[in-house]
Amino acid sequence: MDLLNNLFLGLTVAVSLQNLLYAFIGCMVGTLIGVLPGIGPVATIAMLLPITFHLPPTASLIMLAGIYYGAQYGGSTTSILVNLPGEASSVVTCIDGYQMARKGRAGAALSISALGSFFAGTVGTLIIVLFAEPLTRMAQKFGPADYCSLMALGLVAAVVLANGSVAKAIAMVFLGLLFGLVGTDVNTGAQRFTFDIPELSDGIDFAPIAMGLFGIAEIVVNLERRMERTGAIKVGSLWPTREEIRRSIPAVIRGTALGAVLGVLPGGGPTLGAFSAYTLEKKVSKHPEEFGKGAVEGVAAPESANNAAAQTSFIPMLTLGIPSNAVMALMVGAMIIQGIQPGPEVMTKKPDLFWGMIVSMWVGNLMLVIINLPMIGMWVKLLTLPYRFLAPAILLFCAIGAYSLQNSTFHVLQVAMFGVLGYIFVRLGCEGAPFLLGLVLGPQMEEYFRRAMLLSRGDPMVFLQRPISLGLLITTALLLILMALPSIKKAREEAFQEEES
Amino acid sequence: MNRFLSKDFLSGVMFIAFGLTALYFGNHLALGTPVRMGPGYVPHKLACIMLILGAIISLVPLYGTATRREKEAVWIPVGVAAILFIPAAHYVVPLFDAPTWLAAVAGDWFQLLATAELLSILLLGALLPIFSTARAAPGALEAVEPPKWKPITMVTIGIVLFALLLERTGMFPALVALVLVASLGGEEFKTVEVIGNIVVLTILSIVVFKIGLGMNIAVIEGIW
Repeated sequence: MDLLNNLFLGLTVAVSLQNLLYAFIGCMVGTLIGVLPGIGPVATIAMLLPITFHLPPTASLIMLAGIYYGAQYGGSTTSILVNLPGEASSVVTCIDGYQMARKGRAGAALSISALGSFFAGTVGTLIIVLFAEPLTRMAQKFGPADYCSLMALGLVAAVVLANGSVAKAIAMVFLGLLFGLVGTDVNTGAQRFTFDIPELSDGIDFAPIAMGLFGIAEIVVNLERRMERTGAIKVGSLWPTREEIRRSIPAVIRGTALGAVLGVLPGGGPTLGAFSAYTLEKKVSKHPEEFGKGAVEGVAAPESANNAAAQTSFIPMLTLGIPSNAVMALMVGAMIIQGIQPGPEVMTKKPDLFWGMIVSMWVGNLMLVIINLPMIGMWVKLLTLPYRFLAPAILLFCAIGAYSLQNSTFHVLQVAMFGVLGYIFVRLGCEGAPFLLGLVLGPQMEEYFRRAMLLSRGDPMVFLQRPISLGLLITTALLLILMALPSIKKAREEAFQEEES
Repeated sequence: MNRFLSKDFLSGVMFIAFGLTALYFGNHLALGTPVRMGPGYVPHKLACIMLILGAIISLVPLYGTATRREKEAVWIPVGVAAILFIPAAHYVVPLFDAPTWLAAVAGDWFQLLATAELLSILLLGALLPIFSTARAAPGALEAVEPPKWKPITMVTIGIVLFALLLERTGMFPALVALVLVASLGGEEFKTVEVIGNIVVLTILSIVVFKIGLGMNIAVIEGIW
């Protein structure tokens, strides 16, 4: 009955007034940025990282998690109503969602996507509850060598999901690791790459880098191209017909299952889940010709999948401390800002935070259904807000937020610097996400690497002699080989082209 | 399109530049031994990996677009020279009274590999334009889109101005400067809209940051 006790503990934490409030704020902000094109959850969480510094740990993580899954809900609204995906993960929803809207079934599409998302969110939360403890127990047996190999696997898996060249993504991981080294060396106290700047001796701050690379660079790219707006469509009745419900239930279940599995994989996440679920629906459907013309399954499955994946992608982060995508890397950053070292110890040392966060995810999903369905009209109006109002506001929040970290203008200058670097990355087609993962894992990975080598008296074979480490390294190698195979390479390129168009 | 202006080639050059910077500034850090690693051990290895990866990323698109004549006239000699260079340098340098840094490079296979790749990129850069044109077949490589300078410059200037003004003059003047300059980076600039934006954002940031989060910043230095 440990599980029930834990859930009860989580429930008491999650329904405290303060945490309910922050879950609500997170869900509202998440829906907002999901609706607004041109700003995604990564940029928003980066922007809000410094603010969480002023909040209690549990509240801040609850809020950030709310932004992440709130964005999945909000993103579908714009996909259905105006054929504009607010998020990468709702790109596929455009295909059939917008067609349904044109047939006057916008309300039904919105309800099905919201209810499907809620179902998926509930299942996702349950999966976290079931898997958290066994995984954590397993992770506590890990030695330094095993951890090092696990991180290598996590980093390589992140590369699979970066679009574009694999070699470039690997180089970005190493560049991130290199930036992670800045600061005082833990073992000897030597200053590394600090250039005599006192602010750098504690290590390069994570928040300004994330704000620069994702927030500023994204704004600049959006300012360069004209943001087009189309008129919103009438929502109509929110009630789906009996036929629509009958057809969506199996699609929701399949989407949830697929999304939940893909979310747990390192490097997986909502976008992959949504794309795979849509493809699966098209394959199993008795009427594949209806897809693209407003098939209700084409809305139900990917929307459930992206939400399930958004939930389960918390599993590796919460239990092992290994982020599986850029948003999870930011969550790790938020924990570090709060003085919590992510990893298996979080569950044993901070059970209230751990279980509180999990239960609050379910509470948040419930809130989102309420926020999204009755208030849909308000969100639609927001769509008409021009980007030229939004861009200065985001910049300002980044600048003040960076300053508030340590009351130092150096951090603001850092944001500007990494903004320029992020812009160069975009122009050269280098993904920011692998860089961020490398940056977050860098210091820990070096620590584990040095400890493992010290224990083995300088023999690198230790990574191959320990069974756990060996298994992880073999998986890593397999992943790399798989990516080099011509057929997989082609399929990967096609998937990303679809995503871009 | 110039082959040296492709996204891949230039990102390789960027990684090489980061690798060289890390090598240069990490030079004074003690390397230590694999058992007792010094502070410089991991940075050094990472810098070398950056150099090798950067070189591969640059070389692949160049080789992919090479014509047969080029491969015979330029690539084969350069490749053979690079492969021979590694063992040659490793065994020849210790015979002389070489400076310590050179001896260190020659003793480390990792660094030798990086050096050989860098030398071959330089050689190719010099030889390719002589033996053939630097132009690639259209569509063979993804070109770097010419950047629009206005948004990135204005946004950067805006943030730097904000940083410089914030502690000297307070939040309000810094905010005005940031919003004004950043709005200039966009396509449309309507004075009324920008003023409205400034008013809304001022109220919002006072409410959120000064009152809500209780941050200790002056709205206008010396007054509030």
